[in-house]
Amino acid sequence: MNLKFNSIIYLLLFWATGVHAQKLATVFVEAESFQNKGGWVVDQQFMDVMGSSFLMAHGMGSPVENASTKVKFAEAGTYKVFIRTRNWSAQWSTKEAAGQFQLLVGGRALPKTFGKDQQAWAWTDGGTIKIEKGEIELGLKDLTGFNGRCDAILFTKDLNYQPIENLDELSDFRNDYFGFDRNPKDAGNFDFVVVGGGMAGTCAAISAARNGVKVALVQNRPVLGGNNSSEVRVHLGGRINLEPYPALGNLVNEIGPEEGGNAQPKEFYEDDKKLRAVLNEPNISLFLNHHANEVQTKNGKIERITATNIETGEKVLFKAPLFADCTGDGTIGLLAGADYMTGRESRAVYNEPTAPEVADNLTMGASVQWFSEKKDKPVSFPNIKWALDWDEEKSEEITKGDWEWETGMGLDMKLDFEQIRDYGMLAVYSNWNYLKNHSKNKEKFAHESLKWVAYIAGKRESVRLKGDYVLIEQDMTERKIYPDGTAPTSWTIDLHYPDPENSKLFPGAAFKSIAKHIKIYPYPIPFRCLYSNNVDNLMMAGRNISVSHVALGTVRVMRTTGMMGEVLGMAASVIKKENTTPRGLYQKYFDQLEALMMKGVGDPTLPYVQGYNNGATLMEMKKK
Amino acid sequence: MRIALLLCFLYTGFIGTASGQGEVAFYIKIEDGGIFDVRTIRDSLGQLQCYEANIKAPVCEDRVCYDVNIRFRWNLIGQFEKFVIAAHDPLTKMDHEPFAPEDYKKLQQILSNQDLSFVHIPKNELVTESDSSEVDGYTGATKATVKKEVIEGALYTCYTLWHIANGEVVDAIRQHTHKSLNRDLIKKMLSDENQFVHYYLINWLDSQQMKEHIDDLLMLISEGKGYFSKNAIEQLPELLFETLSVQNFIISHYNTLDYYAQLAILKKLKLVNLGDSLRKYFIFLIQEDNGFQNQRILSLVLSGIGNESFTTLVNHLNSLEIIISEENFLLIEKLGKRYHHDTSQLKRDNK
Ligand SMILES: Cc1cc2nc3c(=O)[nH]c(=O)nc-3n(C[C@H](O)[C@H](O)[C@H](O)COP(=O)(O)OP(=O)(O)OC[C@H]3O[C@@H](n4cnc5c(N)ncnc54)[C@H](O)[C@@H]3O)c2cc1C
Repeated sequence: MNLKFNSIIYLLLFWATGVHAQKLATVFVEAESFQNKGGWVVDQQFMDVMGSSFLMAHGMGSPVENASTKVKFAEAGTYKVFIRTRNWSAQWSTKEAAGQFQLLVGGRALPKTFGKDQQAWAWTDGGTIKIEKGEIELGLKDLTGFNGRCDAILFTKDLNYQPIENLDELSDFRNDYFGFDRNPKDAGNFDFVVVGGGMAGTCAAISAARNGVKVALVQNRPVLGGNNSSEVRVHLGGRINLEPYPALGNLVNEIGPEEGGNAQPKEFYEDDKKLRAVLNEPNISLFLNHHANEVQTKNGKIERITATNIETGEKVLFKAPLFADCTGDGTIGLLAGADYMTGRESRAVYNEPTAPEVADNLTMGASVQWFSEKKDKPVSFPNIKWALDWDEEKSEEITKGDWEWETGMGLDMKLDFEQIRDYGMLAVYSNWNYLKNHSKNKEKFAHESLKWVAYIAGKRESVRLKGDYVLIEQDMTERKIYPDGTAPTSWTIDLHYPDPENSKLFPGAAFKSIAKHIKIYPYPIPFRCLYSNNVDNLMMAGRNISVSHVALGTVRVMRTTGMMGEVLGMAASVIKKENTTPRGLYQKYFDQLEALMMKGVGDPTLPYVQGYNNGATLMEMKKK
Repeated sequence: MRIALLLCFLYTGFIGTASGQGEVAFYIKIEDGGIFDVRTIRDSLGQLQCYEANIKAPVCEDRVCYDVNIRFRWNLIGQFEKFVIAAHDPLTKMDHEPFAPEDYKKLQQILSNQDLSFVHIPKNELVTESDSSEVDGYTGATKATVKKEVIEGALYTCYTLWHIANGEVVDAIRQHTHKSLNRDLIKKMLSDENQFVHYYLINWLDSQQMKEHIDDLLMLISEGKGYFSKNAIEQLPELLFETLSVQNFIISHYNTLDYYAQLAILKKLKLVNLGDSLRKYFIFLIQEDNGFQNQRILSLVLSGIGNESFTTLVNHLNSLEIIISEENFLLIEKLGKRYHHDTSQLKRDNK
């Protein structure tokens, strides 16, 4: 990992007031660039909204180890200190603040406690401090273990300095300070750039590479796998090796975990297996910890994308004739001006029996899964004041929160996502606090200790990019099969709704869901659903493909999204060979893709290990 | 430890008419050394109907549970159908607590479910000693994943019975039915609603039997769900595609079959002679909006084409300005020379 210590770069800012200009030393430190992160984690999930990735103290109730870094000060003197942070629990409770921390300068804590003031992201005044010239150690000291967060720290000798709150201006300031935009790193030229390293993107990259395509895989986390990684812990679902292309899914079998289960111990998700598979491909350049957030288009085509390193802030450029949006969120499509769909279509749009009469913005929600483990001795949990109001009726006497801990339906999975994730965590902590400290059955939980609570929330639905075709419910229930069928989707049409019981207890803010299922025969997803209808060189795989809300109910499971990825990689090789576009492939060269799908791309000799969580399907013989 | 499966002749039966008689067709040995007889049950016409076996088996490792006494029924292709137990001899859970009605219901679901994960776990790994908080059975606690799938307190019963119901007996039944296949039995199975039975037929009937029952098979193909039609077409012997009845069927049904069934038909037809009407049918199927299949159909109608059909074809291609792939174009050019037909107006794909 190319970790440049940007925090030690300092810059003299020109503070212009009228015609007089004076130089005042300013030192800007990105928390996510701290050399030693201690127990703090890098959270980049909301950077498109609040401007940056940040460090968070995800201690599940126990303060985490200090983070620290060395910073050079060119001038001694009195500095004013600001920290960009927020009080995340303030939107639900005025009592105390969940995430509090202190700043250590040269080992000494500033008197100010951070994380307990404003609810929104903003600069908090940390007072002034005298600093000697030279290198000094900064530290972040977590006080609560409940997700205090620090985006950046600013020291300035301008004691009247007003820190920049406007996001665009702040971003300019950062770029100028670190010199990024003037000198973006060129990642090189590729045949195919895949953004998003979930099952869809990882399979797309490997499949393309094995078919002779030079690929860049851009993933904004330190691990691959997306929802199936140990960061989110959702197990693979759906079936592989199905008609009409039984060889599709061999790659999913090759890189997919052997053991099923949501919210299980880390090893279940075999992050390394996916990583090794990618590293084994000489045709793939892997860019972990890079968040793609800029797209440049020309004449309806993407020319290049830019990604920001989530730790250093450094920007990297990727150029290619072909791109794949496997972000799950359709981020690349949105940035490129692709047509997209969101929420639930009304029945009138596609005549879908399951669609609501009136369109609305209900998407399926996101999940913060969790589990506890039993200890030999009793374990305490802080009696938190900022918890949601809880009582016996609300209390869930369980030791694991699975998929149905789902929230945010009806909110915006991009703009509101920090709130959604935080509410998911708040629900977990509120229930746990009740079980540990208040429940009539608290003895039962005395030895239980929270072992894992996700801080990367799992998403199911954000936007769906529009392709030349939009897959709908009847295609599958009435089996309207198109000649450009590709990866077969076999999971039920599985749509989630707020749990009515939970909604009664938490009106308008349910954090649990129910699922309704309609079984289908395995159905090959048309290739036209896998490329954008108006961005000529953009394909997509994963939950952001061209389907109605109802049809997303089946295609979103990860063995299916992985197979879409396999198809995308094959398509990329045909597109490269014929020097065409995805639509050109559909119109003229589909037979070549067909041949590749018949052949498959994963190792067919490996034992079949994908026998868990296959889901219900209408009767069909197994084909392998 | 060894599980002995004992023959149980004492059974009085609760199935009604099929009273547990039937003749013994074969026996099944269980890996642990036990054995049980499988009997054939016939319908009122004396035709094979299903299979049954009375089973007596210990269902827990340390023999502290009571043995189960149960009768299983399978259909003609070895799918588990149902079980019956004697009223005086109910199934029991831990502590000999008898099964509740919903437990029986769940057992029925378990025994007929092919998608369970706990059945694939080796028996000695079914329980984890460490997880002692959730006691189930005597030897330890069931894995969390297993718990959801089984009846609480009856893990070994579920496990053992599932393996008996879905083990070696399945294949033995299929073999036995295969040996018993005759005209009437095939007819009966063809009219079964169960698509697995249809799959069985297309996989197990020989060419002669397929020929004899081709009309019924075509009917199934025309109504097939999922990928049945495609699979059935792939299984039919080529020779049958030469027959008028199959070629006529294609003319009347091709358009309503799904894409993959259509592809399967085109593949089969490549190996046989096309009759004139079928060739003509395919010529006019070549349409502008049929891009995916045009070249395949074209190459099909070109093979063995006569002068007259060739003229029809070229005129058709010309009038619709169909784009022709390189490969087909060369073939047409050659045929044009042979039949002295001008093909210079045709549109060649210059991709
Ligand atoms: C709790 C829960 C339970 C579920 N249950 C199941 C189940 O049992 N089985 C099943 O198969 N599916 C299940 N799903 C659904 C499935 O996990 C999702 O639909 C999944 O998103 C599909 O995989 P994907 O590859 O499309 O996306 P993801 O797994 O979401 O992967 C996308 C990846 O792209 C990265 N990324 C996003 N934006 C950018 C960017 N701008 N730059 C770089 N990288 C980016 C993300 O960090 C992520 O790692 C569940 C989902 C949830 C939340």
